[in-house]
Amino acid sequence: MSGATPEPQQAGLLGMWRRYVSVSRPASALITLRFLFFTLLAYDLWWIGLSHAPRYGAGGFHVPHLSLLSLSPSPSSIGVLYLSGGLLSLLAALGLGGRFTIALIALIYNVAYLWSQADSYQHHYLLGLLLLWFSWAPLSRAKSAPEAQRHPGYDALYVQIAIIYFWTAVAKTEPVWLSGEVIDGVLRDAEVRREVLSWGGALGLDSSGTFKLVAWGVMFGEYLAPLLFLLRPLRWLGFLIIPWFHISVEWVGFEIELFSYYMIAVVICLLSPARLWSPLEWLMQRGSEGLTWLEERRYPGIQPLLKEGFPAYALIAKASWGGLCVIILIACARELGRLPVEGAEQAGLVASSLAALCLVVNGRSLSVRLGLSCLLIGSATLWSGQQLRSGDFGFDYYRMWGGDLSRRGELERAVEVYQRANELKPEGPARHAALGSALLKLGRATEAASAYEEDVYRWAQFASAERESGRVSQRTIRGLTRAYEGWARAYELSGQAGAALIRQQLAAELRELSR
Amino acid sequence: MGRTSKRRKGKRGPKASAATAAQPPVVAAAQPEVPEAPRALNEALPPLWRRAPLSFGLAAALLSLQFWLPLSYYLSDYPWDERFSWRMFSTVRSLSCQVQAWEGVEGAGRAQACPDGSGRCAPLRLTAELHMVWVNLLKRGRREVLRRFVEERCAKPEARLYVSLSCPHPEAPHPLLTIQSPLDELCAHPEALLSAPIAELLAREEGR
Repeated sequence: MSGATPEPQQAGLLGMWRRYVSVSRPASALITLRFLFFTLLAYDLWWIGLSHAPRYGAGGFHVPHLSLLSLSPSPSSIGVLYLSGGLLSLLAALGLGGRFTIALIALIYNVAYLWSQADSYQHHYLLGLLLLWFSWAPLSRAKSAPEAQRHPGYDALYVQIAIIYFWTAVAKTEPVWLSGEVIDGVLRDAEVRREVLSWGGALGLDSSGTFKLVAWGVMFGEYLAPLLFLLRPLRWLGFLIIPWFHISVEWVGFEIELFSYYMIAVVICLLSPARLWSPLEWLMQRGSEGLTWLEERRYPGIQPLLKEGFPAYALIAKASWGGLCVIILIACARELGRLPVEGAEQAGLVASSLAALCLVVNGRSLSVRLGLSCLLIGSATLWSGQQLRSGDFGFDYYRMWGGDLSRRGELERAVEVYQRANELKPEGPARHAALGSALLKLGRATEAASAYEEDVYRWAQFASAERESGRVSQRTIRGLTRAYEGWARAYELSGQAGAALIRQQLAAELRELSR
Repeated sequence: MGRTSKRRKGKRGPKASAATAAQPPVVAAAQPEVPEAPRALNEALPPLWRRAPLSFGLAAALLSLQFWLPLSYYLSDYPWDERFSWRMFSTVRSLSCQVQAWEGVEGAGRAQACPDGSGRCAPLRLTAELHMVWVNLLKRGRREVLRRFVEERCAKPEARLYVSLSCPHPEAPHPLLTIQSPLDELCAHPEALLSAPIAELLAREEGR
């Protein structure tokens, strides 16, 4: 590896470990891993994790992974953890706050995971462990070894990943898996299935033989992966082989959120040959030098003044960078506080306070680098907030929550939640019918009639838009029919038989049309 | 980061430089006296361990746990709870348990005979009682979820509850094994909850 200092030869097990296993990575690979991992984590927590918050503590039912965490979580408390974790991940991605920030993220993430069995994804458990290792192994440029770096935490990280691959292989060393039955069951996408079977066909295998071959291949691959991670001379081979395993998992369409992306980032940054990182290393060095130059000359024209004893100017400059960061964190708190999720305001405040704490406790000095990083974090937060507010994120969050409340008979709360969902979806059918249904069950027929009326209006708008582009779909006709039926029922219950009859006739006509 | 390293340097810097300037080879003498046996042990440890024993101890413990937790899965007699054992896409994950529950009721209505024939019961629609995520976990044979569910339902006065939980054997042809019998009234007999001899049931099926 370029720049690695020659090691003293040691005898025994420790010597063998250092020669064949011990890890030395270019700083650019570690910084890239930090950037990719924590950017993915921020996206994961804000865009995916947060949408699951309403399931926590639903109906007061709670089962933790650790009995220590017996206090029931709520959508708000999980929202605070995920939003804070996301903002801190953006800080960590840019190297702000150092290991203190990463340790805080590890704490937040592991608490959120272990708090409830409602989150049973094994890869979330893996992320929790990786965060613990990242809290120990520095993912930044060490001053003592600017190019290739060693730390026992890196060795532990490789061992950790090797252990996981090993156990996944053990799990597959059993007759049912090796018979191909499980692969046959999980390959649901028709196109993927056809493609896989055609490969088997090219080898002269029938479907059963093909699935068996894939199952054996996966098992062998997973036994091989720990060796490719652990043994230094084989790592380049791992770099060429292992990413394809995760790419194929994505291609097959398994629903495992961002797990493959995390693993591809980890494999590429940890197993790639060091020489591949030379161009990036050079670029990073130049960038760093450029920023240092900028920082040293940040007061052009006033250097003489400084020399003559005018330190107040430097103080003002530092205060400006600090002030900029404070303004950005306030903007982040405000933006996160406006997100369409439960407890967003408190979450925004907590997230920004924790971010400020990370900068103060273990941050950089007030400088150009800090200012630029804060600007990037602020932009990413504002962009994410904008996207989450303008898309269907909030609507889906409240729609699914309302569905659960409605199923479990918490109708008063369901009405509130559906109303919030409908506010967030000003166009299209939204959840007015579900709102009407909940209101009907509560005996609030007049309000239900209004909800169904709005539902009819939305579906009718949808139908005319469809008609303009060709033909009205069966789905729209069915939606409109159900809306008229609900409206008729609401009128019937509120004692307006005439109005109910008209709506029933319209529904009948639509049913006829759909046949 | 920068600040930490500066602080560390600050702590060590002056002492180290003074020591090296005055008497370079006598660094060991500046260290506190260590009794013979611990000193021998200390010297036997790799240098990295000597530098930060707590970090290394924690790291070793965490890695050992990564061996122990999956191993404990294979040593246990309950194959349906795969948490912490790195069994992604396993056979067990692709199988689904069957779960049903009945609650004792007064009067007729939707009531039918209780599974043990002792009175009137109504079947519980689990999705109307629990969030879907918990119903799915029951279908994965998660015992803690069942325990909590029973605990919660039986907290009501005069409650009577029957639960049937059957999970497919991990080995083909995956016959259903009764994890929780519907014949036990769980509020009156909490000791009957999950009392089935799973190891025996598994072994019996494996022997067939």
